[in-house]
Amino acid sequence: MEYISAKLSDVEFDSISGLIYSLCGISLGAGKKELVTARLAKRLNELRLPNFNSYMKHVQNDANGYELLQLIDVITTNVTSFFREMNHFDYIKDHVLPDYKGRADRIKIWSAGCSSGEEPYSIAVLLFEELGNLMLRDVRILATDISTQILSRAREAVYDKQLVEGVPKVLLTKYFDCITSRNDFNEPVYQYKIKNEVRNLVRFARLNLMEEWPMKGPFKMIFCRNVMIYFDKQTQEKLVGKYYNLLETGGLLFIGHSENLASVSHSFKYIQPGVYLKC
Amino acid sequence: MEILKTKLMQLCVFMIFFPLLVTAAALHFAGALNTTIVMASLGGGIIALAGALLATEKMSASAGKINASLERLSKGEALQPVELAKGDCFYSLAENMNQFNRRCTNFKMDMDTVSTALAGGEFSFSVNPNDHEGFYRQVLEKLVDAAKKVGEPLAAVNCVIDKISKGDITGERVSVEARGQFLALKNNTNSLIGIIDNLLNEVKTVCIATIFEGKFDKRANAALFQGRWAKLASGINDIVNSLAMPLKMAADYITQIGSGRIPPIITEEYKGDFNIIKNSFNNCINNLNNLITEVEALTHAASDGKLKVRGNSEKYEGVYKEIILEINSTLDAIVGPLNSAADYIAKISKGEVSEVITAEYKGDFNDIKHNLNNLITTVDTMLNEIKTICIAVIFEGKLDKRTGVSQFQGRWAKLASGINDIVNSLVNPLKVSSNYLVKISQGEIPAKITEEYKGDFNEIKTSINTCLDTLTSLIIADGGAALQAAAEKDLTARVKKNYNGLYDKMKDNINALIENLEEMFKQIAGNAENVSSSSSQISKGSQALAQGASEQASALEEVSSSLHQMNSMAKQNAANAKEGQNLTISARTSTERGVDSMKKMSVAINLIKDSSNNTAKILKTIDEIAFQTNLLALNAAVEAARAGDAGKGFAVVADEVRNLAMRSAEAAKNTARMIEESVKHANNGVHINEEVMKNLDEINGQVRKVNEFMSEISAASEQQSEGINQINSAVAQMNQVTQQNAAYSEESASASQELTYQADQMKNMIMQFKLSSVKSRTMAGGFDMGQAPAMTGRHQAAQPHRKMDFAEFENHPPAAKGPENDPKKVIPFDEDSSVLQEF
Amino acid sequence: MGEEMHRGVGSNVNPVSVKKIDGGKFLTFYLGKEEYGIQILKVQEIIGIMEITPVPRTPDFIKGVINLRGHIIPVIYLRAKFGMPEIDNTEQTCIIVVKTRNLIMGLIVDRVCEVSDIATGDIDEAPSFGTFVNTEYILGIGKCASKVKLLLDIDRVITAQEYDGMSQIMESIN
Repeated sequence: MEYISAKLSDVEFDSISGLIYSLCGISLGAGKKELVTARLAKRLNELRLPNFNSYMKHVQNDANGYELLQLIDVITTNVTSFFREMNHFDYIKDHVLPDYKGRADRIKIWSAGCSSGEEPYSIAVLLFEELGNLMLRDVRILATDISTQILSRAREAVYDKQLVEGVPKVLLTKYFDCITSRNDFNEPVYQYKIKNEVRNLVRFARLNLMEEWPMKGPFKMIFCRNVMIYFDKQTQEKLVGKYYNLLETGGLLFIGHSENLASVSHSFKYIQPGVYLKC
Repeated sequence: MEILKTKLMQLCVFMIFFPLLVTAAALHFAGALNTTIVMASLGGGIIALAGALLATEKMSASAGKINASLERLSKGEALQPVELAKGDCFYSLAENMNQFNRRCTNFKMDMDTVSTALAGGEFSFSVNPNDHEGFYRQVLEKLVDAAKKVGEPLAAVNCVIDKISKGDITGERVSVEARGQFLALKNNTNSLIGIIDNLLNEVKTVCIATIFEGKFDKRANAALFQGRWAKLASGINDIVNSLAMPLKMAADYITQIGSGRIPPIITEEYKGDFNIIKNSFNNCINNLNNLITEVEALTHAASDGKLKVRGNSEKYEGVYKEIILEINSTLDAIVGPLNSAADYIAKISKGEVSEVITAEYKGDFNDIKHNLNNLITTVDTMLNEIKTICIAVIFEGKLDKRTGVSQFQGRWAKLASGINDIVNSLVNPLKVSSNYLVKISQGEIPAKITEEYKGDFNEIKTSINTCLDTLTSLIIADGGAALQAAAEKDLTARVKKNYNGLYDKMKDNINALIENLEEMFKQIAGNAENVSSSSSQISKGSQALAQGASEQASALEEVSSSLHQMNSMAKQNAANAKEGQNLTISARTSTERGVDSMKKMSVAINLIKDSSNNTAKILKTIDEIAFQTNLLALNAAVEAARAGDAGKGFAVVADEVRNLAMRSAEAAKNTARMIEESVKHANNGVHINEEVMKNLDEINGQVRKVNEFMSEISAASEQQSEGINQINSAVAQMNQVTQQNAAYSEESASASQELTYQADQMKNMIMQFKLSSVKSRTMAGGFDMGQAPAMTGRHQAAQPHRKMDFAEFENHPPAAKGPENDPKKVIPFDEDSSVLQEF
Repeated sequence: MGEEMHRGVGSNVNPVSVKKIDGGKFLTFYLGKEEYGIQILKVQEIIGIMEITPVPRTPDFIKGVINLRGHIIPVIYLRAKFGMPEIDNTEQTCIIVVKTRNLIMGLIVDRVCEVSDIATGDIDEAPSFGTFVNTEYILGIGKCASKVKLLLDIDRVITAQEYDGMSQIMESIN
C-alpha cells in the first residue's frame, strides 16, 4: 500500500479553506495549512487519489455531497471528554440547578459541537445527579455536530475505558453500564455504555452552525465549547448573537476555557471564564 | 703798529657797526626796517673778526723779523759740518768746530729754532739751553730768558689784545712784569685797555641807554678821551644824535602809525639810508593807507553783507600782500564757516537736521561750530525724543516713555517737559484704565474709580466703573458663584441675574455648560459602571486567557517533546524497518536455504519412509500371514472345539500354531511397531519437516509480509516523520501564537485591570458630584438593551444562505440540484431536522 | 488363555430372563472397544475381510454377500446392527461365519481375539444399561481377568423378520 504524501499548494489551500469556510464557517487560517494537508491526505489515501487537484474535482463531482461530509469529518477536530472543564459543571451545580429544583418548567439545553457525545451526556448525568428523577420533568438536551460520523458514535454512547477516566467513580457506576469483551489476545476489554435513561435525555442531530437554525428555543443553557476557536471573529460574533437570541433571560452560554468574547461585541454579561449570562 | 691801527680801526668800525646792528635789530623788532642793515652789520662784524686775526699774525711776523735780525746777528751761513774723521786731530776742532758748528749749528739750530720760533712768533721753545754750554747756553739761556721776557709780556699783551679783539674786555690789565719797551708796551696796552674799557663803557652806557632802555639822551663822554678816541666818542655821540632824530621821527611816525594815525608821508629830504628809511616810511605809509583803504573797503563790503568781496593782493607786496591775502583768507575763513553755518541753519530751518559739523575750526569758528553742533544735536535730540515718544506712544503703545528733559536747556527743556506733560496727561488716565484692566485681567476686580476727571476722561471713568460692576456680578457674585458651586461639584448651580449682550450670552453659556456637565456626568456615571463591569470581564477573560495560554504553552511543550520523541521513534522505526527489511531479506535467504535442506530432508525422509514402507509392506505381509495363521489357528480351534475331544490334540496344535502365529504376529507387530515407530519418527520427521517447511513457508510468507510491513512501516514512518514535522511546525506556530496570546492576554489583563481601576476611579469621582435627580437614560450596571434588537437585526440581515461556489474549479456546474449544494438538503437527514424541530 | 480354555464346564449362569448360560469356549472378537464372544459351536470359520458385494434394497446392517468357496453368504455388519457407527475396514477386520437357524452368515467384526474358555461361573447376567447392545442379544457377561466380554446370542442378534428377509434375499440370490 503506497502512502501518498502530497503537498498542498497555497492556491489549493486557499480553495479548500474557502470551500470549508463557506460550507461550515470554519476558518482555516494560513497557520492551519499543515493540519489541512495532513487531514486531507487521509482522504486522498482512502480514495487513492494522487493529488489535491484530483481530490477537489472529486469533491465537486460528488453529486450527493457525501465527500463533503467526509471532508468535514476529516477537517474537524473532535476533542472532547466527560466533564471537560469541570468548573462549568460546578457552576451549574452551584448556581443554576438549585433554582431549577423547585420548578416545573421545561429545561432545554443545547450542546453545540457535541462531538462524540461526552458533553451532552455529562450534562445529562449532572442533571440526573442534581435534580433527581427527571422523569417528572421535561428535560431535553439537544446535541448537534457537523460530522455525521462522530454523531453516530455519539448515538451509540459506548466509550472505551480511557475515555471515561474523567468520570467520578460514583457517577460511572451509577450511570454507565460496563461492557466486557475480549480482544484478539484474549484479554478482557472494558467499555462503558451510557444507561438508557440518561441516553434518552439527549437527542442528536446534525447541524451546521452556519446555516439557518430551525430551533426556536428558548434554551436555558447553550454549550458551545471549543467550537468557536475555528471561526473567525465575524462568524463568532454572528454565532454569539444567534445564541443570545435563542437563550431565555437568565440563560447561560458556556464557551471553552481558551475562548473569550472579549474581542466580539455581544450583549452577554460575563460571569466567570467561559460563562456568560443573558440578563 | 700799522697793523694794530688797522686792527683798532676795524674794531672801531666794529664798534660802530655793532650798535647799528643792535639798532637794526631793535628796529626790526619794531617791524620797520629791512634786513639789509642787519646783514651789513653782520658783515662788518665778521670783517672785524678777521681783522683781529690778521693783526695777530702780523704781530707774529714782526717777531719773526726780530728773529730774522737775530739770525743776521749770528752772521753766518751755516757751515757745512766738517766732517772729519774722528781720528783727525782737527777732529776736535772740527769737532769743536763741528761741535762749534754743531754747537753753532745746534746753537744755530736752536737759535734757528728760537729764531724760527721767534720768527714764528713763538716765545717758548723746545730748546733746552742745557743742551748747550757756555755762552751758547748762556746765550740761549738768556735768549730763552729774553724771549721769555719778551714773550711773556707779548703773550700777555697778546692775550689781552686777543681778548680785546674778541671783545672780552673786562678791564683786566696786563699784569705781567715788563721792563723797558715792554713796560711801555704794557703800560700802553693797559692804557689802551683803559681807553677801550672806557670807550666800551661809554658805548655800553650809550648802548644800554639806547638799546636797552631806549633812551636816546645818553651820550658818550668824549672828554674822557683823547684824540681819535675822543673823536670816536663824539662821533658816537653824533651817530647817536644823527640816529636819534630820525629815530625819533621814525619813532614818532611809527607811534602814530602804531596808534592808527597814519601820518602823512615824509617830505623832508634825507640822505643815505635815512632817505631810504624815509622812502620806506613813505612806502610804508602809502601801503598802509592803501591797505587801510582796502581793508575798509573789505570791511564795508563785509558789513554790507557782500561776503564775496575780497581784497586785491596784487597791489601789494610782502607782508601787505600777505595782509590782504590774510584778510582775504580771514574773510574766507569767516565767510566759509559763516556760509557753512548758514547752510546748516538753513537745513535746520527746513527740518533737515544733518549731522554735526565735523570740519575743524579754530577759535570762535570752533565755538560757532560747537554751538551749531549743539543746536543740531539739541534739535536732533529733541526730534529723536519726540520721535521716540511718538513711536512709543503711537506705534508701540508704550506710554511710559518720556523725553529726557535734562538733556536740554532753556526753552528746549521746557518744550521737552511740555511734551512730557502732554503725554502724562494722556497717559495717566490711560494708565489708570490700564491698571484697572490689568487688575481685571489678572483676576482682581478693583474698586471703582473715585478720582475726578474731566471731559472724555470722565466718560472713560464711568464706563470703567460700569464694567467693574458687571464683572463683579458676573465673575464673583452670580456667575462666579455658580461656577464655584460647579467646581465644588454642585452641578445644580446656575447663573441667575440678567445681563446684556455678550454677558448675557456668557450667562447662557455658563448655564449651558453646567447643565451639560450635569447631564454628561449623569451619563458618565452610567457609562463608568458599564466600563467597570466590561473591563472586569475583560480582565477576568484575559486572565483566563493568560492562564489558558500558559497552560496551552506548557501543553504544547509536552506535545513538542512528545513529538520529538515520536519523531525519533519514527525515525528509529524507519531505521528498524529498513533493518528489518534487510533482515527479512537475509531471513528469506536463510529460509530458502532451510526450505532447500528441508526439501532434501524430505527427500531423505521419504526415502526412509519408502524403505520403511517397503519394510512395512513386508511386515504387513508377515502380519497378514500371522493373521491368516491366527485365523487358521482359530478356525482350527473352532474345528477342534467342534470336534470335541478328538480335536484336542488338534486344538493344541492349533493353539501352538496360534501361539506361533501370535508370536510372529507379535514379532511382526513389534517389528511393525518399531517400523511404525521409525516410520512414525520418519513421519514425524516428515511431519516436522513438513511442519518446518510449512513453518518456513509460513516464515517466508511472514517474512514477505514482514517485508511488506517493513516497507509499509518505512513509508508510514516517512509519512509519520513528515506528519510529525508538520505537527512540529504547527506546534511551533501554536507555541508562538500561544506565547503571543499569553503576552497579549497579560497585557490585556493588566490593561483591563487598569481600565477597571480607572472606571472605578471615575465612578468615585462622579459620585462626588451633586446632580439633579433626572432619570438617566442608560441602565446602571447593565447593558444597553437598546442594542440587542439592533444586533439581532444586524445578524439576521447578515446571514445569507451559504452558497457553494465552485466556479473556481473550472467550468463544472455545481453538483447540486438547487442553488445550494447543502449536504443537509442533498442527503436529507429527516431525522435530524425533526429532532431539531423539537427544540 | 490356555487356562481359560481348560476351565471346566458348568459355570453358573444367571440370566435375566432366567436363562442359564453355560460356559465353554467362546470366540471373542472386538467391536470397537468392547469385546464380544460367540459360542464357538456357532462359529463355522473365520476369514479375513474380503470384498463384499452389496445387495441393493437390503437393510443397512446387511452389507452384502460374499463368495466363500463357492457359497454365497450374506454378511452382516455387526456394528450397524448394534447401532454403532460404521467404520472402515482394517486389516484385522474379519468375517466370522456363523450358523444361525440354518442360515449361514458372516459377521463383520473389527478384530478377532481368541478362543477363550469361559467358565460358567465367570458369566454373569447382562445389566440393563451401559451398552449399545440390547440385552436380548446378550447371553451374558463373561469375566476373564480384568476384562469383560459380552457374550452374544447370535441367534438373537438377528431378528426373526430380519432372518426371514435375509433368507429371502439369499434365495433370490441363489
